[in-house]
Amino acid sequence: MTPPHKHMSEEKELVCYCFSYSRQEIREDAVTHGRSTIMERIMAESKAGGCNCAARNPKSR
Amino acid sequence: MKSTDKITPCACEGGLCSLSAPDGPKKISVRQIGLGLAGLAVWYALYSQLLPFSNFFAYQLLGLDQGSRLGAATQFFVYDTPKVMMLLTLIVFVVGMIRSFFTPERTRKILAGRRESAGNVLSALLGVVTPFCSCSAVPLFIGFVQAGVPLGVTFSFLIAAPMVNEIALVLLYGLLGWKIALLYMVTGLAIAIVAGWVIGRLKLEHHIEDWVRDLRMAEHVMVEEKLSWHDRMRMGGTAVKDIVGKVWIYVVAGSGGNRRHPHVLQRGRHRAGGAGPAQQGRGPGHGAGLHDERHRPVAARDGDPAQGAETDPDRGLYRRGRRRHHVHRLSFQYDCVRQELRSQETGVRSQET
Repeated sequence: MTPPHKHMSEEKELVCYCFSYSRQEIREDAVTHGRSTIMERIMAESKAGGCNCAARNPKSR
Repeated sequence: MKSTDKITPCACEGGLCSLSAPDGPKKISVRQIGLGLAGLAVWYALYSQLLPFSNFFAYQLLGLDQGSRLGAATQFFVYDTPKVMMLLTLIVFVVGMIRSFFTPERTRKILAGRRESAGNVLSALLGVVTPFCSCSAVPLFIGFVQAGVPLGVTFSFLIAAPMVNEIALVLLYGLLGWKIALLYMVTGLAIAIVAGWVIGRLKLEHHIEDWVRDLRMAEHVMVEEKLSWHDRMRMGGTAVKDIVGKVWIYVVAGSGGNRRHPHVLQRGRHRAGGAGPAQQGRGPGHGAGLHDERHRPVAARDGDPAQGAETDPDRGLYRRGRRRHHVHRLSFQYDCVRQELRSQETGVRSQET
């Protein structure tokens, strides 16, 4: 359950800038599948060299 | 990419499914071992010849004077740039291969059910070698909580992973020596272990959102791909290409920038009137090196710190500084004695009168 003080924009805030996953999408994915399939996809993409957090993330990491 | 297809969970033992590598043998072959050893021998042969080559290049080929600033700076640049690049390439390749053994899935399995303290230490160590970026930080946290990894242990992992970086470790070793590199690693690990332990003691589990806690109850399956040695070597090569390809320019700029160092060093020594602890290990022959080619402080070769200086001007500066120091001390002692004698003389005169 999302706490009432959390704003919708905060929920849509991107966590993964490489593949555009927001906090809400990560939560919905984990609730739907019982595990984080997003993480599995991110890991697979990272192995394939598709992840580039240093360039895409505003915090450069 | 963003499909939400439901993946059918398998019933593998321990919740960790292993998928075989599509191609390549699982065990390392004799040919691969031979190639690896041959590569290591070539690397070592090249590495050991860097110092003689840099001396030859700077002082014989270019004909620069050994005592000159330009000669020392050129020798340092020719020696240090390939040295750091070679160390970086080797370590990044090895770490890339090691990382292939510690996937997030396997790390999660290792840490599941671990108690605090030992779990904090283990997770901090695993944090250094497990590859993950900011994209996977939140899903990884969810996965750890789901697998029953204590919150403090999870945070030790999450703190250590970005804090202790193997590339920074190699650069520190190459540029500043093993003591600084060790200090960096030990400090980073200590912070991660202590912070994770404190978070664990604070019992903050009730702050985890309900939906994440509910996932603990749900069935979870981790899928891990089994890699062949060929795949691991390829991953090591990819890491080298990716990381060395990004940082080489900074290594060259850093080594080039240090060309000023010998001059600054001499001025610093001259001003200090001697070789203080901070200056003793820095011989212009090594440019910015805090240590010699065997990673020992240059001044520690024998009892005389002036031996650490590699050029005659340096020795001269050091000895002049020492002489000046002795003269000042003798002068001070002389003043004290003279003052004492005067006061005694005054006392005797007053008694006579």
